[in-house]
Amino acid sequence: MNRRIITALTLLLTVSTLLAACRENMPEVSTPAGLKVGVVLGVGSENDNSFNEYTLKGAREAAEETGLAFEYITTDSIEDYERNVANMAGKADLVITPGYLFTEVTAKVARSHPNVRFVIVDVPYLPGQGCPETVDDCYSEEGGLTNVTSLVFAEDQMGYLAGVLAGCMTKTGTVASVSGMEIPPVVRLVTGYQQGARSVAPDIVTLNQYIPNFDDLPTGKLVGQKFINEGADVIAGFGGNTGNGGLLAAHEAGAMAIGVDVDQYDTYPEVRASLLSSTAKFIDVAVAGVVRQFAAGRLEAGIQTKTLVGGGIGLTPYHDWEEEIVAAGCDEKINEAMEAIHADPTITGVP
Amino acid sequence: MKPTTLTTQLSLLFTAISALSIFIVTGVLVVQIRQTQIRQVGQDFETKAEVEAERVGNILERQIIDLSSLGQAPDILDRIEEVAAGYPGAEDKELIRAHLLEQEQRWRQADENSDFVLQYRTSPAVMVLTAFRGSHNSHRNLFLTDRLGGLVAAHGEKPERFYYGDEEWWQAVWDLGQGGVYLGQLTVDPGTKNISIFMAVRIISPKTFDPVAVLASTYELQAVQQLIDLANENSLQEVRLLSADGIVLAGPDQAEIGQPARPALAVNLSPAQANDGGASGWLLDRQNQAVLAYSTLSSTSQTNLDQIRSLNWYVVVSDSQADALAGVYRSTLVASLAALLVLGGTVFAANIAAKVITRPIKQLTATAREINEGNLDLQAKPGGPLEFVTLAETFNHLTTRLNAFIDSLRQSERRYRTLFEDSKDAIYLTDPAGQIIDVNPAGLELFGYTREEAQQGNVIDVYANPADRLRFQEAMERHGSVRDFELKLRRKDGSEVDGLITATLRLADDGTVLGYQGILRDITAQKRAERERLRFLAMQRELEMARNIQISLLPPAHPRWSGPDVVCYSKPAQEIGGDFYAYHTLSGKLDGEQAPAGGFALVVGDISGKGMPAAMLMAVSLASLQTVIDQPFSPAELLAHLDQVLAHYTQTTRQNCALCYVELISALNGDDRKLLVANAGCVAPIIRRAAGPVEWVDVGGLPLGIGLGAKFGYQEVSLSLAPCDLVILTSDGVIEAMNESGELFGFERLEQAVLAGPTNSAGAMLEHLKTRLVNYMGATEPHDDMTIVVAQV
Repeated sequence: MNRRIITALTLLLTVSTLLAACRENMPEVSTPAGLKVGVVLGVGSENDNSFNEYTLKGAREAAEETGLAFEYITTDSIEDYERNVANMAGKADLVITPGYLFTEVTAKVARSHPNVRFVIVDVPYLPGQGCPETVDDCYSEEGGLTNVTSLVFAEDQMGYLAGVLAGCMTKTGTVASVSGMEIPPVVRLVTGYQQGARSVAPDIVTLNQYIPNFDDLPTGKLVGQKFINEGADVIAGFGGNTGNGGLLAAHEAGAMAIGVDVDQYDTYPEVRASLLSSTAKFIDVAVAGVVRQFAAGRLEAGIQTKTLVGGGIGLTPYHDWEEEIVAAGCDEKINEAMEAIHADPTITGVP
Repeated sequence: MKPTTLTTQLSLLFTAISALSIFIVTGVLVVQIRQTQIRQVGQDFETKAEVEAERVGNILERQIIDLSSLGQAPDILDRIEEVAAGYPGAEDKELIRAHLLEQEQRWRQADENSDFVLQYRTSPAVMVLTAFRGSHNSHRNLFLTDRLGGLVAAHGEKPERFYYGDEEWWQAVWDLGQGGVYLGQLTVDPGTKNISIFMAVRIISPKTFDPVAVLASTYELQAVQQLIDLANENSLQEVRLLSADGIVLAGPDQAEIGQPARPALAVNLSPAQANDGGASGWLLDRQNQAVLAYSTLSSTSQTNLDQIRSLNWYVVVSDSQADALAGVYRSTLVASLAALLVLGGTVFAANIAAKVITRPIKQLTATAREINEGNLDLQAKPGGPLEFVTLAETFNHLTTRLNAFIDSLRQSERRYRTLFEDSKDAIYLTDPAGQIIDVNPAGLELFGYTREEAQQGNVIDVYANPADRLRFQEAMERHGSVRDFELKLRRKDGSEVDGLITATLRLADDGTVLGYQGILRDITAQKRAERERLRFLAMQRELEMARNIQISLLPPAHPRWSGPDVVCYSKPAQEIGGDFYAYHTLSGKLDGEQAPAGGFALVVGDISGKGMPAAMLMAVSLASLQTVIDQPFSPAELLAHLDQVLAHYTQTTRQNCALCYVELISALNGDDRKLLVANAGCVAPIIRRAAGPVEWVDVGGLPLGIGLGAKFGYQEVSLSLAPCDLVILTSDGVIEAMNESGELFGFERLEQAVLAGPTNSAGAMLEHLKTRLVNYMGATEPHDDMTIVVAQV
């Protein structure tokens, strides 16, 4: 089943969302002349199948659609982030930065360019993180980030959908997750994953290992191997490259794998054959959404959490596993889970 | 050779001294500066090498510290304890060693994915290692052994061994005496060129402070290489990190990484040097034209300095000699240029100085030259040093005095020259032989020679009488001078001159006769005048005699008769006059004692001209009158006759004689008187009536001696006279007498004088008229004879 259909179904569920969508598609209302949208890409290719590519895609399409000017710059080195963001802030009215490497830079440049709007993808500013601990809200006047919108995603819902898929597909009754650092988003993924798995099979064994390094594929793989040794036959990788190690271990052991963030069928082709799906942040959709809000003059500062509602997150296509998953009825279970999440978001185990 | 000026000499001298000084000073300075700068460059290089070596050492030091800290992680310490607890026979080392060797065997044979292997590679301790690696990505393949050398945890690649207790590096770290750190096993990845070393540290238990484990890591030198790259980017020199055996670990050229360094860069560090507290230095590699500095590694904290030094790595900073010493060459060049500039400036300054010093001398010289050329009024400007001022002032004083002296000489010369040039007397100079040296213009004029002719001539030529020359010389030799020596000289045209010479010898200071000098006065005119005077005197004597004769010819002023009262007056204008008077008794004898019976004749005459000829004609006229007066002629006939007679005399002399003739005829009855008048060009008679009026007798006629009177005849007038009437006859001289203003006395004044005059006697009237005339004329000399005859009837 096509994910877009699922998305469309989801959209139909909420009238307000529908109305919002209709309003967002009125360019003549929402196109102040001369405004410009600027994207500063992180280190890496602009076709990285990941944050760069989808941020660029969503921003560019929405800008064209709403008639805003558009510009983006790539970055060769982490040291150039600040210069590039500041440079773009001097030219554009809305600056979009993808990923946590931009956390400090975006906050700093936003404070020095109060008339420019900033959107940072996947980074929430919390007291002590991007603004002083004494502040209640980083996006308030005292927090200093009144021109910043953080685009974050409901990782618990993502993990929950992955957990439903894993719990449905496992044959050994044991599912595992190879995680990165034990930080809140990762923990939410893991929690949602294990809740989702248990929602399918309450007795299911869930294994998880937090690895305090997002870029340690060998260790991720060893941990994945260990989980397989312990009986797991589905492994979700929840920690960047480290998580990929888990996927690789599953793949080499003939087990099943679930990717995260983007469709890892594209970003990690080595493990395609073992990849059931990826529980993804639809960054392009989310970014396009905030660009439309900006064009309509409705973009507000603060944290915007993208959930299933509005298509901000969801599972990517099953690709090679489509038939088996549908045949196993897991697709159905996933749709049910989405409805369940909509009905009660707390079922993910994360309040 | 042309003599050089003082300016040039001084300038050259100054320049030479300055040039020598500047060359010596510059040379010494340049050598000093060069050496100092080269030393400075070398020391700079050395400092740079030391700085970089310390930075490299600090990086290594940091890794050691970080690894040591990592070993304190609870999960690691827990795992160590956990493993140790699993050993059989807690204190039996042999047993444990055997166990470990057994484990080693098992490790080698075990499947990579086996639980046995994985338990060492996925334990929580491994999570600590992977976290560490997240922030220390230059470390890889970290692994941990316990105090016996058995594997506790491994991150990264699967270690080949399980048991390390018998490995040298492990023993080195474990051995308390070695300090607990091992660095070594330099590895170059031929593909990636990544260079890594193996490092291991001891883990100390925070509880017991005993060593409990060894943590090992393979450390890639990326940070070190970046450091060296940065050093190369930021400096003009090449900075390299070399290993003990000369392998380039980091450097400017990626191609040489992992390769042996160029021999020129390999510093011969003796092991003693390298181990003995480090070593650094620099050298000027003349063979390779390079400057090179080196330093062994050090660290700021020096905590693990010995271990770091034991690598025997060193940092080399090098540069080509040309580049390294570019500053030195530039300094040398600048110094040389500066020296040249200073030299140029010195030459200029020397020239100026020389000019300044010699300017007063030059001015003095110029002034002296001008003065030499005759401009004595010029004064030297005192200037420059005191000596020159004094010199100039002395010079000026000298010129002033010289000027005054020359001025006085010139005035004196001018005086004498004026005397010489303007003298009316001839002045001359001759040499002893008579050769003329100079003659004044008066002399030249006198003799008619030009100056050139005169100077070629000899005085002998002008002596008219050669004997005079001999006489002159004799006199000169005898007296040394002559005064008013009279002699005759001859002009160029041959005419003779009377001269009067006053001459002296010209003597030199030693008395030698240089010649003669003399003044010659031309007394020719004087002599002639003298002769003329004598002649004139003779003539005057003759004239005196003539006058006496003439006076004797005129009758006495009062006729001795009983006739009318007659008085005569005649005053000649010169010694000898032309006027005359006469009276005569008619028809009677000429005997003066007897009064005439009939009438009386009165005559006043005036001969034209004066002097002798007039006197002569007067004498003739008188004589002729005397001859004819007694003839029976009427007055008119008388005059005509006389004209005829005198014309004979006056034909040649063109003289004539004006004459007025009157006859007083007394009537028989007593009181009746008659006057007959005839006039030949003379002043008409004037009548003073006794009754008062004055009247002129209007009668005229031509003078006698022309001949025309006889031809045309004379008028004759007759008129009556009353008793006591006065008849007055005058000559032209009375009418023409002039006062001092040149105005004539004239007829009118005469008439008034006569009118105003007394009538009591003829004498009184005459005196009155004479007084009037004298008063009128004042001091004026009469230019004509004046004759007055007054008769009272």
